[in-house]
Amino acid sequence: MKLLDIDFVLTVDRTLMTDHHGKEFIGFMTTAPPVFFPEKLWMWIAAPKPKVDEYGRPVVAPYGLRKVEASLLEKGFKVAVIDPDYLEPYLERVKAVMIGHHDYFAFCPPSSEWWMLTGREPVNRRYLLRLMRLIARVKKTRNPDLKVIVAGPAAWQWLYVPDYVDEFMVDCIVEGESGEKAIPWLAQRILDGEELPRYLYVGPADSPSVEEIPVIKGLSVNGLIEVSRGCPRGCKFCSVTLRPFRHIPLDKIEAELRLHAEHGVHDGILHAEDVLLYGAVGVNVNPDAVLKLHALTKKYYKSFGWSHAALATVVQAQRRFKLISRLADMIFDEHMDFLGFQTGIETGSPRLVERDMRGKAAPYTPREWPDIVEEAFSILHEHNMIPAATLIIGLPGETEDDVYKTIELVERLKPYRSMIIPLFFVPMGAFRRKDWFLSIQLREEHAELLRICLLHSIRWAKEIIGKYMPGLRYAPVRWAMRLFLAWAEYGARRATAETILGFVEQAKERMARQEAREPLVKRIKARISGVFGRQPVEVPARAT
Amino acid sequence: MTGKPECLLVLRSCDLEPSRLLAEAARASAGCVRLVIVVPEGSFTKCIDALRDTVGTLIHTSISVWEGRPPRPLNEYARVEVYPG
Repeated sequence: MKLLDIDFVLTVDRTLMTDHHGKEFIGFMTTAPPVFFPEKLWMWIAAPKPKVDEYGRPVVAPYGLRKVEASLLEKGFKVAVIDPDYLEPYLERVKAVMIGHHDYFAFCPPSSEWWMLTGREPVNRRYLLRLMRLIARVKKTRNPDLKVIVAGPAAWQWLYVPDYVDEFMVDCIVEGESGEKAIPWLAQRILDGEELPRYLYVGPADSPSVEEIPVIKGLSVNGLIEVSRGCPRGCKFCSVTLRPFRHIPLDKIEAELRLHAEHGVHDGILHAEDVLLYGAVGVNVNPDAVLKLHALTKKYYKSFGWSHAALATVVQAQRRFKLISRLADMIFDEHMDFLGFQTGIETGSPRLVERDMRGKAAPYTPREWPDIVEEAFSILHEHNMIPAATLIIGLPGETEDDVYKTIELVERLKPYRSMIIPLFFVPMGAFRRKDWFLSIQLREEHAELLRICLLHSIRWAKEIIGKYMPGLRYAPVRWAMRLFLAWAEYGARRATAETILGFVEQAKERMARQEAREPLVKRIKARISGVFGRQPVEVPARAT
Repeated sequence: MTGKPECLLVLRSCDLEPSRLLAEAARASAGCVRLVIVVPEGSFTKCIDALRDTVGTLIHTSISVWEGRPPRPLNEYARVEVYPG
């Protein structure tokens, strides 16, 4: 392999440095431990290795890394995104390695949920730990001046694992919108041989303006392109809402669309917290801006999806402007007959909406929330738009009645093509404890909610999978997914709330046993290390 | 990352309650859009427990944490606080 003359490498572990076979939704499998399949097969399905060039640069890379790369390149730094399999020779010679991740230690949902339900470590965490061990080993033995910078939306997780900060020799933890200004500032300090802060949080006053956000220089995973940043809804449990709400101008969006189209990418994803609020002030839909955005996108992409859209916006857009119908008329053709996206239901309880997420229902009232959700699902079903919706269970102060209201809402949503995924609320403070999973107390009504969501999602997944992964190219993955769904359905149909609770308790016991066992393993390895005068080869992963 | 009002809080020790540090940091950062916190040399990871609430709560302020000494001379900060004073 040839090596580039660069000072900085940007990278991430395999679970994110992949195109998920061109299907972003498959990426969710990397948030779980391997189930039913062995790890290698699970990873082949969820996170196949992408093509790389002769220098180890992946043809496609996560959008966040691409933004940082563009920002550093525009400021004259020598930088490249490097695939983790080709990283080691670079680590020996570069000045810094920068890692961006959206769930370093599997503390975010749904990783934490699968971890808790199965009692087994998700693959995203396993691969991240392997990557960090490689970096630490090279830093320790071959390049002691190497700076290790960890950033991205999950950088906060490092504050809950100080042992890992030491073990992996992390020099700087960067939180907030850092790609455009903070990372170049750190890069310059590294080149100048100056000290780095150990921690940096970029507050809203230091967020980049729209003009400062660069156009990416390389292809992103699955043709993803950012169209807006920030969110005006102000939900209490969400940090994105802290960021100023900005829209990327169409000329910049077009430059990124053109970049992908010129390299033969004609399928993609528009990324925003709510794509239907493109060009909006607050939560008031701007139909002209949304239509222009979609007309532009359709010029370059034969098919595309949205990363996220809000259900209240769907209803507002359709009631006031018939916008969903107009969009469907504009974008659906022989290349594209459905559109998928993520959204948040979060709860069926107006009381919790009123308390924690008033803005989520806006411009409607929290009291109307369950009806808004059903109306949105109905509109979407009619227009072949498929939401993958999340619920949050276990919010602080949640009552049995709140959960039953959510169950009632999910029952109302049965006829509509969709996926519904319940996520456990894990209070951030819980991660301070190594046995954080014990703090999650599932009740019978939670188990019932899990069961009906699983059945709902499996039912529709069986239909959606043919649309989502058509043709011969996807036949092996489709077959593997269908096999997995059949297995999951077999289990779900026989499950009761009681058996689910028993299953979770077993998983907790399994995790607790792993916790108890680990110090002994570490002690033995340390002893071996002392006797033979070398470092332990590998320390097993642990819950933190 | 310069050009906006920046305050400095020097911690002589991280042996303090997270709530105490949060109160000190809130006081030290009043009127500034950035807060620079200096912790004793080599003690960053020992200070994380105490720092976490502060950086998680003062979300409208840019915060940097340095070990040993601040990145710029003291006279360049709008306010300098030392704890314990």
